Amino acid sequence: MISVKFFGKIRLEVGVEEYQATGEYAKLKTLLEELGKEFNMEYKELKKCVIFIDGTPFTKLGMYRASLKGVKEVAMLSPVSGG
Amino acid sequence: MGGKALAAKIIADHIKAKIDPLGEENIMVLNTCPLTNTSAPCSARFNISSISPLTGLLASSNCGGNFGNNLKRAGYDGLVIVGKAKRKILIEIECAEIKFSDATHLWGKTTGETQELIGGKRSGRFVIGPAGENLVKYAGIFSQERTAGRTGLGAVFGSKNLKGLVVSGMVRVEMHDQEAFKEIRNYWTKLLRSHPTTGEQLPQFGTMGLVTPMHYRHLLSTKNYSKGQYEHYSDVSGEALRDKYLVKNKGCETCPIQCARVVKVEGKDVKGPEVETAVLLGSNLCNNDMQSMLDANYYCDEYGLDTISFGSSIGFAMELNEKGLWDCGLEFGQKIDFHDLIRKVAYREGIGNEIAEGTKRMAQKFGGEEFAINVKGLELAAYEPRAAQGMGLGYATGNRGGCHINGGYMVALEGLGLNLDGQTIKGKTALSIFFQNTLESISTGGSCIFTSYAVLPAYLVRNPNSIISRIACKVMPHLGLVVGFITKHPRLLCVNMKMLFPHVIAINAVIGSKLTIGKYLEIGTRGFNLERLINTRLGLTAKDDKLPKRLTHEPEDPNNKHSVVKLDKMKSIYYRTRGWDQNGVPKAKTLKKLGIEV
Repeated sequence: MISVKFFGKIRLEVGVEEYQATGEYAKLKTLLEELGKEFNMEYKELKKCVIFIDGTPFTKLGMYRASLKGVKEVAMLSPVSGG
Repeated sequence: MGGKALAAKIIADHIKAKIDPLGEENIMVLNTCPLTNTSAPCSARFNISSISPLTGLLASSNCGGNFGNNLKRAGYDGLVIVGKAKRKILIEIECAEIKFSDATHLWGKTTGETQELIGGKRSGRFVIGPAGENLVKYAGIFSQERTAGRTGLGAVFGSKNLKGLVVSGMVRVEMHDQEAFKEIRNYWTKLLRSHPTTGEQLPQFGTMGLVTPMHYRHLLSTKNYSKGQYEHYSDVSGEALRDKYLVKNKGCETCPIQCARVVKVEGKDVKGPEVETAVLLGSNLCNNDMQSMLDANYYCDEYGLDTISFGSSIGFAMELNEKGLWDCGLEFGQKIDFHDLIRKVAYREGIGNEIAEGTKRMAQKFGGEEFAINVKGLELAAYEPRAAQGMGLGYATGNRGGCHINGGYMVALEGLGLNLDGQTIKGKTALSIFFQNTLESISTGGSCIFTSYAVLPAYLVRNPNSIISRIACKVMPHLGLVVGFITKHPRLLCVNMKMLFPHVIAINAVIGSKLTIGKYLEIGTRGFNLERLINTRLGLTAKDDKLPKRLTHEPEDPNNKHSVVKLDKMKSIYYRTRGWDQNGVPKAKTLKKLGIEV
């Protein structure tokens, strides 16, 4: 099971803090597609999130092709700038 | 033009050598800017400059609230306060009339109490609390619930027996070109409302919306900056604030962003914390109790303290205690009675008297200089710099000390807004200089620093994973030479682009100037160099452009020995690009080119 956490604007859009993904996900893309269906969001909108897989930026793990084998947490953050 | 750069010129003309910041010879410049009291978005800003009791160097603080607009409505562009009152006073200004009133009855009152007792319904107020009266080195000055927080200027008020100012008037700003101003104001407001940062992030989550991304990016200062991540970050995040504590949003006059939060403390609606406060009083102290942090923020405001320097001083005290260097009884993660502790600091009672001096002086007394997190005496802001090299350089070279704004706020490019590699130093010096100068220009013109986010193209922020954004972030560090060339020759940018710098067009419409982006950036460059020159007169040398050893020698990530700030490598390039000599002093030809007379 993967715990998907939402932060920032995306949390307001999906309406939950966390989602427990219980399926089999070979790649991150598969998970995002499920999230799109679950929360009625377009895949291209989910792709705008900054994503961390077990704390590592997904850009360092092959982005949407990143393997989710053994992964416990996927954090999805809406883009921000500063304060 | 106005603000801190003009104030620096006035101070340069009056103060030629090192002085006692709390002595009679120190002066204070309170001044507005061309856009103050216009309806330009985010323009309710004013500046206060002096010599800092915390750093001994040139200090400036930019503040919102209602004082600046009212000062201009009274017909003043600025005030210079010199000398010292023989008795406790309040300065009351109503147009041409200036009165020095007895303030004995206000002494000891909090900032909130004082503001309730003075002025009329429409007056602007600017006051200190007990911390300023008792010369706490990082006391701030307050206008409504906004603060000129940094560098301890509240103590300078206190040293002059000045409780505050109250000002009112009815003068309107005369526009050079009213129609052009209206046009750019409307465009600018739309631009801010449509930008992902100023139209979404800041209104929805306030600046505290950064806590979570800072944690994931290893930028969240934790346990006196010993690490960049906090396991309980979500308890003290912008999301938690919004979900459980937010009453409503708030903002300064003419602000379409409304970034401020209103929360409850003791049953009252009060100002909520900014990200700096949330981090310095939260993760930095291993404190995951949001309500206690909201309380601490409120009491710091009421007693008149800068939350950043206070939080950092407490974190330092906790580590001194942990290492057996000072038995002060403060521990990381411990439940603290913040009201009692803040009162003790404001009144300099017991351990509060030591904490009131700030980290630099505490280290001189108790040791621990390597983890006393300050630059030039000013405590660092919330951003852990070991994961953002440009931010580290900015902290080290900022004219007022460890300041994220004066440092160029490179962290917005290094992970918070754009995704430049935070660990690389490539291109960072030129980019740091560019943004230091740019923020100086924006401040000098009278705009809130948040208007600078328009400089970050909305597409890149909104689509961080697109091919275009990724290429841009890969390429940007390689543009160091180009950016460095532009910072040396800003006038080459002899154009105006309202989507990047609407500020310039608005200023031209207000005062009838013929600024281009290049001339506007040159004003910032001139201001930054002038400030540096003043600081060198006050004794600053290249040795002072340093970071605490913890940040340059202890890896933030124990598994990555490179996760330290590579300051020495960047510093010499920085000086060269700035046109300064190896001692960090602006060269004669640099000053001549900028029109600065020594």
